[in-house]
Amino acid sequence: MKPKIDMTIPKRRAFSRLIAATSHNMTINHKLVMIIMLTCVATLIIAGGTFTGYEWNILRQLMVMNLSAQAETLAETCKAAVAFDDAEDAKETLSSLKVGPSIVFGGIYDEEGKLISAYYRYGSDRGVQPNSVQGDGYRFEGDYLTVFKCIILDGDVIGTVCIRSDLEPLRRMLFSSIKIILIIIGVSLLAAYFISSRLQSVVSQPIIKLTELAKAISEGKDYAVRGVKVSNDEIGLLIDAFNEMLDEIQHRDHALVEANKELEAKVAERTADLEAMIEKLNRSNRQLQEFTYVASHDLREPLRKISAFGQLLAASLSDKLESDDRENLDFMIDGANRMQQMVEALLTYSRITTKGVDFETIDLNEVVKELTSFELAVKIEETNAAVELPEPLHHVNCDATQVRQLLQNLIANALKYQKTGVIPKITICSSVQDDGMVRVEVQDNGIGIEEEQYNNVFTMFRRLHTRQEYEGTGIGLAVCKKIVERHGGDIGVSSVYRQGSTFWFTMPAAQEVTVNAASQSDSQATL
Amino acid sequence: MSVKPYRTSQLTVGVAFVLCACLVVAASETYPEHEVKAAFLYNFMKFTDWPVEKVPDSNDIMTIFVVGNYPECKTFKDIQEKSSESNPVQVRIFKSYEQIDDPNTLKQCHVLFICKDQKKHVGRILNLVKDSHVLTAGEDEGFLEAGGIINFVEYQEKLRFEINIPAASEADLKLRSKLLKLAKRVITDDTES
Repeated sequence: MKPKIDMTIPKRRAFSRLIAATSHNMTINHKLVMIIMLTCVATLIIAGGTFTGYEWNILRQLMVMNLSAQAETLAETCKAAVAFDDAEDAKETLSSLKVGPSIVFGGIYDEEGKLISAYYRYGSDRGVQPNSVQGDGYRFEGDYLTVFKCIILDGDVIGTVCIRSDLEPLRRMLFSSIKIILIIIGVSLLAAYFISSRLQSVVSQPIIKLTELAKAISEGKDYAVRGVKVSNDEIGLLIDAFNEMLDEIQHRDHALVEANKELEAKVAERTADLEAMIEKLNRSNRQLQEFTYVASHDLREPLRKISAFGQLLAASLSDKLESDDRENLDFMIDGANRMQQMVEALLTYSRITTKGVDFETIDLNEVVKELTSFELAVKIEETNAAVELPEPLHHVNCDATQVRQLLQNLIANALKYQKTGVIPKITICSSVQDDGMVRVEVQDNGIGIEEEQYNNVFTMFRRLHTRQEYEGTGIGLAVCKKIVERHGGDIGVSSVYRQGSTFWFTMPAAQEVTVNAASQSDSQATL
Repeated sequence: MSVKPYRTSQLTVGVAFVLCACLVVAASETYPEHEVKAAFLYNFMKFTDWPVEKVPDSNDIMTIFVVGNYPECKTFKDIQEKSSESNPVQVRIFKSYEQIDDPNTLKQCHVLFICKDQKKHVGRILNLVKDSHVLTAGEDEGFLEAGGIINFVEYQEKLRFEINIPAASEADLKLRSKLLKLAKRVITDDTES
């Protein structure tokens, strides 16, 4: 009947874990009600159990007292009967026990423990008779309460009275009191449920409101709303902290927006500055290009005159001049010619942007063929060079004149920068890159370029060799670079020094390339 | 009321007690009549109230006188040796009325038992102790009619007794109702029950 407190202590953690697990998805008001209900159940069970135990004890005591009183009365009444060994009278006395419905046995014993007379409610064969006699006292054994009382006559014990009662009334009383307690517990729990359902909102309502507020804020991004503080407890503090946090967020948000605006303004300002600068640069660039064009265009005419008339002069005076003067005149003519070449090259360079035309599909194979047949035919013949195309080149989308110029410059360079006594061998090949550009490579077996010079070769007027070694204006590769850049491509070189160089560039592939390539492969397939 | 819970040690004592009791019960079946009578005489004392002048103090020695040829009796010895809260008891046996030096000594006793063999002296003895508050007992059929107070009779092979209430009243003795209840015959004022 006692609550087993020592059992609940080591299990407490497991119990609260279980509660936490089962209430995982419950709302806070259900959780609160559940906690309150569990507490009530535990309290009521403990209280009910304790009370029942207490009552059981009281009932037992009461029963012992009643039975003892009866035994005492009996002992007093049957004194004479025992003293004079009168079984008849003793039996008569015992018959008074009939009144008590739960008394199953009554017995009067003499001082030696011999049964003088007995009373049986249900007959003597039911084994209800105690098998031993003792002094004053009681004992609970089996289903019976047995009370003994000594019969005392003038201070001498002359016998013993024994009364035995079954515990049925005790059980009945206990059972009915348990029933009452269970009803009380049920009614109390019902009351507890209604009260806690109403009162839990005191705790849960502010939290639920706060949760709703937080949800609304996270969905609506409105940091201007505030929670309403209703109490000065932890929840009140939580709401305060939440509001402070919102203040902070709002403040920061505001600052962030301001900073963003400021930044945007700054960016716009800078962009405008940059655009202005770019415009300015473009303008000066255009002016410079125009100047270059105009200058080189206008320089061409007087130079041609110097060169032409110099040559005429040299022809007419060839016999009259001293050998020194003749040599000087040749230097002059040569200088004029070279200057003419440089001006020509500069003009070409400046024309790239100023005189560019719209892009069209170009067959590079055709271009190479024409170059080797016309522009470069003399040089190829002189050097006995071989220009090879292992595979047909891809078509590109570009300015026809400029790509011709580009390839001419690269092939010319390959022919020019050659070791003496070596027959130039030039291989041109192409491939389509993933980004839709065609990469064209011009490979030679010439003198090669040291790696640290790779970038310098494309700079205007930068020459790696003296004029005596190799002739040139120092503009050719710069022109190439400019052409490639105008087409949105790249240009570069890789080389093995003294063994050969490979110049490569990328150009936009022609839209029809794939079609052509496909038709080619088709035709090959049909052949 | 003193209520003592039952203990195991008491159980063993109880068992031993029962074993002893069985032996005693076997013996008691053959209890001689004179022993039972002795016990009855002693018990009569306990259900009788004497006037204060006869028993001024509860510690006074109570005396049982027996007149007649009474056999050797163990019970009387036990009674005298008994050390209890109640008054100490003294038993004197006179073999016959003739042997009493001074018959007046009989007046001093509280209980006087006259044996069957002293039948012829009954009237005289009763007359002698009439005013001395003596509880007289006998074992003769006409004892009560002769003025005796209690008379032993045999009833269903058991020793029982009968009582003469007027005689007791005359002797200024009060017999408890419990005792009267046990009597097989009670003589009240001129009526018999």
